[in-house]
Amino acid sequence: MKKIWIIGLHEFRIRVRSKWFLISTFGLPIIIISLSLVSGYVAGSGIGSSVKHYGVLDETGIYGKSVAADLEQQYKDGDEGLYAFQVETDVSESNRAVFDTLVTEGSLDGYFLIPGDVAKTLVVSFYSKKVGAFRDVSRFERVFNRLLVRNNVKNYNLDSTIVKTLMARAEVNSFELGKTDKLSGSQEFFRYMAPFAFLFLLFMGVFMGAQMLMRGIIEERSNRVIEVMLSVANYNEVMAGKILGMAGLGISQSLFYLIVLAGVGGYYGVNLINSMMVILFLAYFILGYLWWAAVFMAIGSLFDSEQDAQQAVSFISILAVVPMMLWTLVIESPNSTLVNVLTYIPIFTPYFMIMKLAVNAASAFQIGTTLLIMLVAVYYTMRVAGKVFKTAILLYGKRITLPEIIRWIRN
Amino acid sequence: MLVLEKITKQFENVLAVDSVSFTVQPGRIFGFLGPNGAGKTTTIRMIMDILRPDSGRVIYSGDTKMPDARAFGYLPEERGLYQKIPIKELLIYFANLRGLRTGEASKVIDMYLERFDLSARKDTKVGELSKGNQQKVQFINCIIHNPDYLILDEPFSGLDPVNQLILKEILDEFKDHGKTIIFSTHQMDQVERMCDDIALINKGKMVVAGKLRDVKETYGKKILEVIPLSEADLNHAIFADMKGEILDHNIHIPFEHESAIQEMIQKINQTVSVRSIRIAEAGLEEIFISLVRGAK
Repeated sequence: MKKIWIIGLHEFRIRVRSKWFLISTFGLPIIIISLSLVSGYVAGSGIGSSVKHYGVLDETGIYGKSVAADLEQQYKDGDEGLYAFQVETDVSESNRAVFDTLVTEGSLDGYFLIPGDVAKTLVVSFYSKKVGAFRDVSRFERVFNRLLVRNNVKNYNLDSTIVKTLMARAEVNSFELGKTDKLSGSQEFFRYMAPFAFLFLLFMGVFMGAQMLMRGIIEERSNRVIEVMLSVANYNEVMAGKILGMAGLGISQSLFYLIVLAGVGGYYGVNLINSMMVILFLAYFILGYLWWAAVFMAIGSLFDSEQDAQQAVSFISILAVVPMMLWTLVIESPNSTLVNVLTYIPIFTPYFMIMKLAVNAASAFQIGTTLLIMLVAVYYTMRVAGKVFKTAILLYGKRITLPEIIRWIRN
Repeated sequence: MLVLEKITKQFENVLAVDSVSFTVQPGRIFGFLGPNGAGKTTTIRMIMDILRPDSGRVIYSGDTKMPDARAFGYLPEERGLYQKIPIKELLIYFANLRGLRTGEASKVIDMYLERFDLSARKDTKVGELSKGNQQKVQFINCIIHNPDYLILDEPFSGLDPVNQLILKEILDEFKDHGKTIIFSTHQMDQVERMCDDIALINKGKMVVAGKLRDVKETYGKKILEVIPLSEADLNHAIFADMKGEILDHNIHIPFEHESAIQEMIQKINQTVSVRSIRIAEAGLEEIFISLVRGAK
């Protein structure tokens, strides 16, 4: 046990002081926070946005000016409007040709054509040189429809109070359970992104830790330190020590990120982390890490070069990315059949469970059974990995085949 | 004392070590010899318990249970060190793994670094050292804990004559302190200079084992070593008739009985002018080659 501790401490120390570890640990949150601050500043300062010029050919003579005035008034960046409209009622071919030319020359970003019988056809056309104005078109559509409905209602000579009542819209406010203050937009955004943040942390810690472990094994194998190591400690001690060192590294890194995450959440008034969450995060982290560490350690013991090993792990690495691809599904339908099935596959279990926990969709039964499944999976994977490691680690210059590996495991 | 009793190890279809037995006495240096692929490394790994024998056993001072790592100093053939760690830190790490406290280890390490002229470089990373200096660090790593068993695979490779001498002195000190030392090498001159006992294995099988002197007496042929005055005479027909072999500007002529020597010398003197003629003993290298070839 003492040797496992010495090896673990050594592995932890040599890696924690490497500049790449320091850069990845402290650099990543700094980069993410800086990017979000910069993008927030850019969005707020109006850098990068410019006034959009649109034409409106309105045969009805009713809507064009009102929609334009509404949009020019509603969307402003400071004192400056985001939109400038050129509204005309002449929809003749010749005038349309003039607007076409204005768009071609770039004086206009596009133009809307409102036909005289729009109340019947309910179709407005938009012409532009390039696509990508969908946000502006949808804003135009929203304001135009509101005016259209108001105008239609007016035609029935209804009382203005009734019109106001009919036109009234309700808004949905979000509250955190037990709190009386409604959530702001950024708070809602944080709550939505939190599961992804937890997933990302788990992925980084588990997967990167296991990768680093594999690299360490390959390095010791290729520079022949491993036999010296095996003369002072047995296989199990060497394996366990290395796994322990990397786990310490991953846990320290994840705890640091959790603190950063809690701090950022706290700044925006969102409570993302509680003690139960931290305990379960660490439990899934450790079990997930041990599973991947066993797999990567066994693979690392088979190869002399990192390049060859990376090729071998590429398939399994693709599987590790599956939870990253399905995170929106987990947030929106955490108890769908697909999510529930994937949750019980050990390779995915920690990732899916951490997301479910973040959206409060994991039952105590699910937590219990998944932890049990992971314990069993880790035990058997470690046993298999141990057999491969013991047999392969001192076989130099020999290409090991899959049937050979299967034979070692069976023996 | 270390005793190997009929140890056997098979890998897939290869019988790497086949019923090998020998005894290594304390206070003597034991040369473990054999051509490449003979099974030396596998045997050593079984002694170190890195591999388990399929049958047979290794007995360490009367006990089949392997002593703790502190009892062993092992310099494997396939050896290396962590490249990015300073020398002293690395040596302390391995010393800690062998049960030495840091303070205790530090003193011994400083003493050996001084002895191998590496004191000024104790904070240098291993990867920045020359191959020879790395070899010295590897050797120091084997001995800092004063082990009872020293198992050294090619310990002199990469060392200059001065450092070879320091290493030999240290090995002699360990020998004088009654340590059990196994020394594997291909350099037969080193074996002749240092070893008391030897064992030769080939293709996993024991070929010969015993005291160096006895092996040389039993297997070493005596020869007549002739140096002709003129180089051209090296190829003279008389030497060919006597089944002489040209080795290093000398002719080595084998003989069965000493009674034949007088007649051979007379014949040579009548035919060729010679600088010298003497009776020599075949070296360990020749014995090694003939035994390995004979085993084939």
